[in-house]
Amino acid sequence: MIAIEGLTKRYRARTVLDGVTLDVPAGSICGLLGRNGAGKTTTFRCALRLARPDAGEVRFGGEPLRTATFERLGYVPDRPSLYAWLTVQQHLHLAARAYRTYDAARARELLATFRLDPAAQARALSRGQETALSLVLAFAIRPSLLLLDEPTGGLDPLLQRATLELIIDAASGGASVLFSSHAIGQLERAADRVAVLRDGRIVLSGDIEALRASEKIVEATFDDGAFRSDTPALAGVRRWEHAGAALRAYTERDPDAVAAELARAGARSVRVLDRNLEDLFMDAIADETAR
Amino acid sequence: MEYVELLRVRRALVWFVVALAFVLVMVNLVLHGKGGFTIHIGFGKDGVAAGDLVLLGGLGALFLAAVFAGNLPGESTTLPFLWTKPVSRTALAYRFVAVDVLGMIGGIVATALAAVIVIAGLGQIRAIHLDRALLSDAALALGAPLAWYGLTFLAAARLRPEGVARAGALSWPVFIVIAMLTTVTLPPPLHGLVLALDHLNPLAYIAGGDQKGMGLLSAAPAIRGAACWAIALVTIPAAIRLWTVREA
Repeated sequence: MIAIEGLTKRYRARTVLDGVTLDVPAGSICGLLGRNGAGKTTTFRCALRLARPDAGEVRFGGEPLRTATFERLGYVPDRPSLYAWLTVQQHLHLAARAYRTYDAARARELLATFRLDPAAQARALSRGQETALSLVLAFAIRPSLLLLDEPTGGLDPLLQRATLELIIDAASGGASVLFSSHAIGQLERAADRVAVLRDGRIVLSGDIEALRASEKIVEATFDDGAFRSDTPALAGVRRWEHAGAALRAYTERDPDAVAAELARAGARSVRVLDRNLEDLFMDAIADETAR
Repeated sequence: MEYVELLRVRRALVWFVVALAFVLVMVNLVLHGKGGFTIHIGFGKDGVAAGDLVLLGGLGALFLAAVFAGNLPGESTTLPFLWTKPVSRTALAYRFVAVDVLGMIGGIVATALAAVIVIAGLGQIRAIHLDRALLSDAALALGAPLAWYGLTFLAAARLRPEGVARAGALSWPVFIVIAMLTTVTLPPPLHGLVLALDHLNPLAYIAGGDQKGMGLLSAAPAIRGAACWAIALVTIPAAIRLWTVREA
């Protein structure tokens, strides 16, 4: 399990991370979402002591980060960290010498999956191939802890899918995965937990299903643009949203009662929808986008 | 992980040997009259002490020390790769340094061998003889590059890659200028400062001084070698400490 508590990082007067706390249990995939500059990469860097946090602690499997922790930890940085003058094979050779847990057969299998030429020099790789090599290096040790910062950056759709499958496989084998991406659809497919960062603070976190179930959307379609400029005053509706001829009510209480009210108000059709991850994310950063 | 450094040192040594071979060819051309003139060299009745050849090797290794000193601090974009492996940063750094030391020894041997080849080309191979100072000369021949390496590494440990490259390249002019300034008449406080700085100058130790008042710099090779090793033993661990606590 990965447990981050109160992680704080300042660069001079600017607070980049402000008490970030999140848990990723074993077998779980936690999606880390946030706008550019929200603090996702700094969270990874501080968790791995690549940057010194000003406060907070990070525990992997109940223990603070130690040299031995890396034996079972796979990390894919947001910008590939490779030796431009070494070949793909030489990078694998480095990993084989560094890890007791390195699995050569698995590495070969991953090279084939990502269609990487072992003889190619890293400087000749495309951005997507660099990411692919980072993924091969991270997964070749069969890690039980995975920290993946934008692990699908530059990959083609097929390889993005293959990467998601690797992540899901690892989690179903008991690995804890912390995974950041701007592709919300990917996170929705793979993750069971989410944490949303805004200005270095976690503004939403928890089990995705529970978060989705905590609020429903009642979508009503009206003729002639009714309610476009006005919204009905209904109990339990937290927020209204106009979307073309549709009016959406976000409610935490009794969506059926809200649906009935909207039907009585003349809605041509009414349906109750679950919120998706994008809704959760947009809601979490709503104040920021309004700025 | 030291495999990376091994590859880097191997590559540097190959270039060093290529450069030495070029110098060797040029020297042989000149010595054998191909440049339009002939130089006659005699080694007298004392011949050539093997220790002097080793010291010459030490001079050659200074070039490699300047290059190798930038290797570890030059790891910048690759730090996330290096520092997320199950090897402690300090152990990793010492392994890199150990490989660099082997590279410097390689440089000493290659340069000394090049000198032996030149002497053999002159038909004077028998003039080379072992002497009692060989061990202390060898200690100085390795100590001076190590001190150079340590001082440059210390200066570059927290710099960005472009700064690291500059530190390595500037080490030569800095050490040469300091050595030259000791021979210039300067006001006493300034002369004292230059002389003090020269006591950190590996070039001054390996060249040796015969002037009075040069302190350690004009001492016997064994003392100068010990001074170089002392500089290295202070600066290298300090540089490693600085490197391990930087941010990736």
